[in-house]
Amino acid sequence: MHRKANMTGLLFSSPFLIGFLLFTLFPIGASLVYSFCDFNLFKSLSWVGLDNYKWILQEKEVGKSIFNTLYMVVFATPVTIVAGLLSAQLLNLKVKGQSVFRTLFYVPSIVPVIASSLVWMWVLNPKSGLINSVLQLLHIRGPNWLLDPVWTKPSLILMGAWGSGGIMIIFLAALQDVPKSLYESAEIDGAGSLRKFVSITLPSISPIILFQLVMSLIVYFQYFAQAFMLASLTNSGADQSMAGPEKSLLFYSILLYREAFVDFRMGHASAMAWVLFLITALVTWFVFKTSKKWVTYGGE
Amino acid sequence: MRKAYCRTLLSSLVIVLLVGVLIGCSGQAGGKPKVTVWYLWGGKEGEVVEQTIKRFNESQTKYQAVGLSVPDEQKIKVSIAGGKGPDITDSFASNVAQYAKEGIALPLDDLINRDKYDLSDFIPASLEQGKYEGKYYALPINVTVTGMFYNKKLLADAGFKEPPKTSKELLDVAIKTTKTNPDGTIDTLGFPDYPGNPFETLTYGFGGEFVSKDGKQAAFDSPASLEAMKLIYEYNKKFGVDNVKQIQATGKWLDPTDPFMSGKQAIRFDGPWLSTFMANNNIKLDYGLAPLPYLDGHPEFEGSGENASSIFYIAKNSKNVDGAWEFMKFLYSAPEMSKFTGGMGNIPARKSSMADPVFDKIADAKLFMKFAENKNIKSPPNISQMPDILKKVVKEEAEAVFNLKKTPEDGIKAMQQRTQDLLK
Amino acid sequence: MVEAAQKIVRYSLLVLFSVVFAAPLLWLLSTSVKKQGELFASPPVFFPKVPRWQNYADVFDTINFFRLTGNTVLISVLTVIGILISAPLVAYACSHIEWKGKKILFAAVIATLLLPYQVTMLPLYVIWTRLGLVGTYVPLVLPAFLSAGAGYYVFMIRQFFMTIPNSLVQAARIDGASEFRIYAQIMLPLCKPIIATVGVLVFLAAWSDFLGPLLYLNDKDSYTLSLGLYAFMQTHYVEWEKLMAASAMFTLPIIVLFFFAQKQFIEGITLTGIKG
Repeated sequence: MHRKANMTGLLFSSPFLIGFLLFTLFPIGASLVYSFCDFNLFKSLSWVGLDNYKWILQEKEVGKSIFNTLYMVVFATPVTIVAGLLSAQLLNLKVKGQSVFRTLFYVPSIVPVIASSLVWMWVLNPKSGLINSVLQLLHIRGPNWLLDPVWTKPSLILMGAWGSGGIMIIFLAALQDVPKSLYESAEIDGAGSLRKFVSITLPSISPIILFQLVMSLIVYFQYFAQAFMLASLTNSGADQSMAGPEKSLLFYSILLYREAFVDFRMGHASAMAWVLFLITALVTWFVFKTSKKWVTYGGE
Repeated sequence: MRKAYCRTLLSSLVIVLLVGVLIGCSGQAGGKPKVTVWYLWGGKEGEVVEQTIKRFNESQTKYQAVGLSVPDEQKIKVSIAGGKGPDITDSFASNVAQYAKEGIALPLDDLINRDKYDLSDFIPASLEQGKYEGKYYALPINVTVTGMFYNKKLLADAGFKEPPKTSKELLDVAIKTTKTNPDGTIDTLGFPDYPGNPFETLTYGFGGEFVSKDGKQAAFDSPASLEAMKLIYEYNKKFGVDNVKQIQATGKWLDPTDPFMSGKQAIRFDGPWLSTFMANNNIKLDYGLAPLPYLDGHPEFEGSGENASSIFYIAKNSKNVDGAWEFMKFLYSAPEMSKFTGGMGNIPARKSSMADPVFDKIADAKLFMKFAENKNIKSPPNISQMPDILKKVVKEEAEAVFNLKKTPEDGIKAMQQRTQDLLK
Repeated sequence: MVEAAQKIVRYSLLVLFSVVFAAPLLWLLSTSVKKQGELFASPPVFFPKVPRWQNYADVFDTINFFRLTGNTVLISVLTVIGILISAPLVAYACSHIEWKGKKILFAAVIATLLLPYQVTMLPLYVIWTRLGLVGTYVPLVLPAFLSAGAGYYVFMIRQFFMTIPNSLVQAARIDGASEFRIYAQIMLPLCKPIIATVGVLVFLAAWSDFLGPLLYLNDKDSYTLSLGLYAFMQTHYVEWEKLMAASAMFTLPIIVLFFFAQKQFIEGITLTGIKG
């Protein structure tokens, strides 16, 4: 009987297992090998030992890209999560026409990156853009957004919050799952909205917050498409360095892509990928470890 | 039941594979071997390439050339790397050494020798740009020099009858022609800060260069580059980096909204395509064209500048080298080169093409040819480090000075040092 | 009184947020009907006096919109089919089948979720290159049929499966139903909401995917909309207004799709209750 179950299990998981072997395990091994080699698609592999990893330690641009990436991880993650949670809270209110609001809130997150980058490039245009024009009406001079190294990353965070619909919808689902009875008994005790939010809502949805936190961290560690688009789009054509003003948009993944596909230093790129892998694993582990203190799993 | 499921899975896999393969192969036109020609140009300029391709196909029966506009150089490289790239494509002279070294471009010497292809008609300085370690990897199609366009009315309004001739005059004219709004923002830009940081153009215009002719020494420690940085620094300090950047974000380069064409830029450094664009799009602007200003006190540098040709190269892994070479020879023949470069408003890289009557009708072509013939025009050496020097060192340091984060002296010092390190 | 005030506060907050979320999209629409130059006007033109609908027609002259749309739909649909065939199978194997590999399998699924795609990107590119499949849709579509890169979806479906009482499965087993029959005739019908949700999510992701097509497609005729627009953007002579019109046309289908799938979609997510 057991053997039969094992066979069935194997059979059901076989598509995934084949995919896992071909598209995950094998490439992981290969990229580990590449990371110790000088290699590009025009040349064959030649072993260089730890040179690629030494390069990572020495190259200033790697340092810059790590700084930029951590900036996003540290600031963008909480901003998108708070934005998502706040909008979910609003969408969970009992008012008429909620489905219209839900669509409006969610739609930005499904706008393809290419289109949203384009729109934001113009929304943030320093002279004729939407935001600065509105600020102008209030007699405030807006910043140069995507042209000013101080403001480029805040611009991206703003875009991230705008497109936080994916996070929002899962929070919304979680909020709807919180048992009504909890709120009712709290009301009897005379708790206000804030009290209810802090002492009932947050603990009840803390597993989801953890899930979202981990997913967002991963997304921002791998941050690529928006920055790629905005850094390579300028008024006077493509910018091959893809780094933005004063390299303020040079994120880890962008540098990795550039090393691999612009400068064809696949060894550097593979080593960078492995370092990213280790950092992600470490941070995720750390988050899970500390999460025990603040995540409460319902008594189900 | 389980079998049925397996069958569904398998058949869907097969379908996917088939669809993919079919799409992958759908490009195979029957009959003649294909020559795929990719080019970075788009729009009107792209049409010029397509016309050449059409004429090539009509001129012979052996090959069928197929063109594709791919305005992303990276994409071209990645495609060549993936073995699905073009047979022949274009790029810039500064990339030749790197492409040769990485094995992207095919050495042409065997083909040149086999056909006894005559190179003597090419402009020597441009021809050199296709060479790396003694071998030809590319041929120049045009001679690209930059001129100084100026808006006559804006200069006259500020009291200038003549365009600036020296670095000192340039700054003076730039400052006096700049008009600001009450809130400090710039209405009319005096300095050639559009479309981008003019450091490279200024350095070469002042008689300097980035790397010595033999490619062994960094050459930023000349008065030319320092003066170039100083002008940029002083102008931005006077009018505010934010204000200058705001202007850089208005209008689109080579579009009627371009600040120069809309009369909001007094001095502009650009190539012959700007004249052609204005002529073709019926933009009425009273402008003048002069050589770049030279370094104050150094009239011997008059007419200096940089020649950065566009080139074509054959991909090393091309499956149709002979066809690509046939196309190349066709494109580079004197009459075709005249049509090609003339159509884009470029200056051809062949002496005999320059004399073609086509260029009598092209706006400013004769003037640009005169600029190009100046003995002070320099071609940067072909070294594989060039893309890194331009993309990393120069861009980064020049930007820091532009943003007033570094003094011109420190910026130059860093460029010199870092370039020297790369050349080691 | 208090209740009325509360209502006003709620609505104004909702409306305020809606405006913020919608404004960039409205800007997209308004720009897409501006005439050349109006985009750069200062002070800006919020609503063009005479909308230039011609921009939309012009898109068809500049890019082969139908072809690109067709390609994008083909890739997206195949990806959806692939994942909807393979992902529920794995999800079932790590929920209702008691077998040795269950825990390891689930760990592997989670691991793919955490693995940065950059690690596998280069070797996969090399493999597809060596197989000569760069330039075809195989590298974009085949992995979906093997649930590669679908960790998130497998996870979602698995969480949903977990909410279905095991007793149901056990009862069917006792009745002598084959495992596949249980899966196909009991589990799948019960899981329609989550299947629909995952389908929508996969479709959206494939529709807007950028890096995949950027790496693997290099023939204008096989470009997807994302890549077509990107190539379009990089040419110098293109008018931004037309590009905005093209972007609007690119975005509209998925907004429509979402509008129709909305109820199912939100229901699906609500029912999963992803519990970490």
